[in-house]
Amino acid sequence: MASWGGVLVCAALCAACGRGVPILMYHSVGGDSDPLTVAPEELDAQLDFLESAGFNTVTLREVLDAQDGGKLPRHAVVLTFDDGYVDASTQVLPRLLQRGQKATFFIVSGFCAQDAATRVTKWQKQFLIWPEVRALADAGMEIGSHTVSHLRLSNLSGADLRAQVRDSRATLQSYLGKPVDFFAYPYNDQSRWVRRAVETAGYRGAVVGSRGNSDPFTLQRLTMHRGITPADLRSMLSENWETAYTEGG
Amino acid sequence: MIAALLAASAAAVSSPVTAPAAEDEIPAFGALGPQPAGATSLTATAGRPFYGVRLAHGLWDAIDVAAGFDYSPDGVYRPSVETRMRAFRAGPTQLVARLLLGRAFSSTQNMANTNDGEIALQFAVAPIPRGALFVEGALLGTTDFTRERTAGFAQGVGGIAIALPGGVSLLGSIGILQGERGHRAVGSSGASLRF
Repeated sequence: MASWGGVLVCAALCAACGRGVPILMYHSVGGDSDPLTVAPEELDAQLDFLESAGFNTVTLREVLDAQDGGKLPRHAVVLTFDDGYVDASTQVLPRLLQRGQKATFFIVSGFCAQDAATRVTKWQKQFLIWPEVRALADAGMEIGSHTVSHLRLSNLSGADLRAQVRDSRATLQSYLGKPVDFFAYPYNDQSRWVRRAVETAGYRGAVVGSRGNSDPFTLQRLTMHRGITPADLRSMLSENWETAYTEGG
Repeated sequence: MIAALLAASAAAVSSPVTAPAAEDEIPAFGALGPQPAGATSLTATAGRPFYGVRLAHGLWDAIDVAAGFDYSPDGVYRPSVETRMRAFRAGPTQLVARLLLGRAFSSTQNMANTNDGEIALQFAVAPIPRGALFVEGALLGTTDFTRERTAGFAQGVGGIAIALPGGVSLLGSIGILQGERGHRAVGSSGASLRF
């Protein structure tokens, strides 16, 4: 009898450590030597792999809709791009459109200028301007908030924290004319009170880094850094047959 | 007790040269297994998720072992070993425990090679000697020793076994495989030959 109890406990533990839809975390795409800047040819190879292996890119909204009873396509994967660098428009968007893929872009609202003449440059990188953010949304991409000024939220006072979380959402929504429901914690730094502020601000979910899980406000992401080959990506994303089978239809 | 176990082991080792057991009084149970001591069966099934062949051999009257090979059109093939043990048999009913260990290989890019385990309890009732109905509950586990690809599943199936003359049996089952994020129908039908 005890051995059967052990089997049941093992099965429950195995089920508990299962994962959700994989979410990839990109930052920048270009020729920089920064480890978080993926080379354009690497992004091409990764997107081609996803296409050829039968992965379907979906948005975070679709993932949470599925948790509420909606249906996801087979082999779903979410692509996210943090910070809102200008290469989201020049490098990423054309490649996604060419393959019929989609992604979620987390924008730092305070780094978005009105036009190219006033474009913000920070950390030796240029950021998107509002017309480019709007063009991403108009192209079917999902836009999320990455705060107003990309500060480490757990170091802020309550008022500043709420302003960073709430004001960025309000600004993005006013420029885009559509709801902004998802949030990315700068530096993937989150704590209980930061999460509470994000929930209170009306977001539907939020993403973190590798220390996340399948909770809607701490969704785990896999870091995409320079040097990841399609074979590496295959290893990161592949499923066991039972999972693929039970999610198929 | 030890002497009895040694004697039983010796009988099992020598079983390939012993004659198959006499015809079961409920032949339909023979189709479901375990095979009686000395008897061997070859079973082929087709369905979802797998098409499979399985060669089973009875070591003792209540325990057999099998080697199997499953293939899925989704590009997965799985060699496995299996053992079945009859927990009890009373009149037209029996309860059988089943343990399977396998290695799933994938030929597609989005599936990993994993180690599979399956433990099941099957209850069968035979309203007539040559026909039995059964239900089976199983827990499935799979892992490649990474957190991402370690998961548990539950499966419930019901089915029928019909024993024909000449050691041939027909099998059919249908059920559900339940995962953490979804479920899907499973089922198979096939034939078994005891020799």
